[in-house]
Amino acid sequence: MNDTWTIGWVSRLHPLTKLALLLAAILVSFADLGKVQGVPLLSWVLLFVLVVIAFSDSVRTGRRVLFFTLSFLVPLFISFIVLLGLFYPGPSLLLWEWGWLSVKQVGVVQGMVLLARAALAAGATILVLTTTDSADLTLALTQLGIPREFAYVILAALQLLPRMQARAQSILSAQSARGLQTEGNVVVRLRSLIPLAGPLITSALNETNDRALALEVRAFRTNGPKTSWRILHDTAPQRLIRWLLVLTALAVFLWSLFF
Amino acid sequence: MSSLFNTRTLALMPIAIVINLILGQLIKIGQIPLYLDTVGTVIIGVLAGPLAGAVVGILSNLVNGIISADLRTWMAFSPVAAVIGIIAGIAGSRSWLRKPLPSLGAGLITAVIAGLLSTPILIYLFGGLTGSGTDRIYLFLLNMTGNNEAVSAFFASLITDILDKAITYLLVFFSLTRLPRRLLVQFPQGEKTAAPRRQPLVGRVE
Repeated sequence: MNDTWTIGWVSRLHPLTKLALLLAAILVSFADLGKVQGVPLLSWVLLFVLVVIAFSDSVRTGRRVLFFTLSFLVPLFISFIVLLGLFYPGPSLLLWEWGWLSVKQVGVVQGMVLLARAALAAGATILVLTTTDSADLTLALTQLGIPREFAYVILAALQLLPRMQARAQSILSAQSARGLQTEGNVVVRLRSLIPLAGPLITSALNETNDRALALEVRAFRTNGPKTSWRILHDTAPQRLIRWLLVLTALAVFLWSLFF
Repeated sequence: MSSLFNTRTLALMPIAIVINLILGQLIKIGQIPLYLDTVGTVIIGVLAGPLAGAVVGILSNLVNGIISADLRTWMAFSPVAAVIGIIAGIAGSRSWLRKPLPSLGAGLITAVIAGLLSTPILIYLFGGLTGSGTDRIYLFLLNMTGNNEAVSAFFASLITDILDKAITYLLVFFSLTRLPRRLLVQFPQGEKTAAPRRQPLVGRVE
């Protein structure tokens, strides 16, 4: 989360601008833009534009966005195109047939629609995440008037995750050392779940006391104003672009609902 | 949010979210055909009430969406997660988590209601397919019912959901009943789940 590079122009944008971009991408992804024979071509073009923006930020950002988008798209592609295409029930134009396998047009088109919806939002999420420092985002959200508690819960969860993953790994090692079988058929794997999940849950719950004390000690719940160590740079054009992005996306979304 | 939850509930929230995430990942690595991504939601619902459960359900989906970069899908299913938290809160307030059988019952109720809620979302987003093991059940049912998308999607997810929620609630039951009473009673609703206080030995009149 925190390995961000403040090298490109996207990275230097105000967090809220990028959040507006994300919101716009999600709204637009629902709209199925520029349908040609049922396939939303414009959505795919927008995804391409997004990747170009990422590369114009820096090659590293671009590569990362491209890599993650592809690693997200390929399994979905297989699931949608192959399953829907091969097994779509009901009559349809056959595109390709080989033995009992057949690719149906209706399945492929539906797969492309569903994929376009998911891909645009995913690309935007990765772009925003790789170029935004999570602490900056928290500060921007607090300045926007979103409760500190909300920002705390999200940020703490994101920071806690790698630590808990390490703990899960050590619990797994410890239980394996005691002879726990984690490989075999489904029943064996299911039974191994209790000695793995149990200690994980109880140790995590034991931690709440410390965390609650830490919050109290730092006067987290007091209502007075807080001073931040970070400074966010905002410009008038960015403020304008934020509003334009969200309003345009909202208009496109509503237009797609009614026409 | 500030006045709605006390500090201890607030501190439990990120932990509950992470429990959701980790167990969801663990089950995927172990290739077990379940989700188990609502254990944390159920825990906080049981201990801190329906509202906290609903909030953690929604936030879990938000964090999951951020991590998996599939924000749209996860947010679309967030109402289901919220309802799971609410049901857990009600089950907790009625002390159902003190005994295994009522815990199982709460799991079954959750499975049916969550299944009813997630079916329309599933069909709208993916046409019933999820890219998981449930897909095979779905396609099988689709052939059986003569292309009835809604019925097939509902029963396909119901089969997995019943097993998933039953195991979720049993896991929560076993974990919570093994925690010390003094830890449980610190939460707003913890008294309802912790074993009843023993009568003090001193001054007991036989």
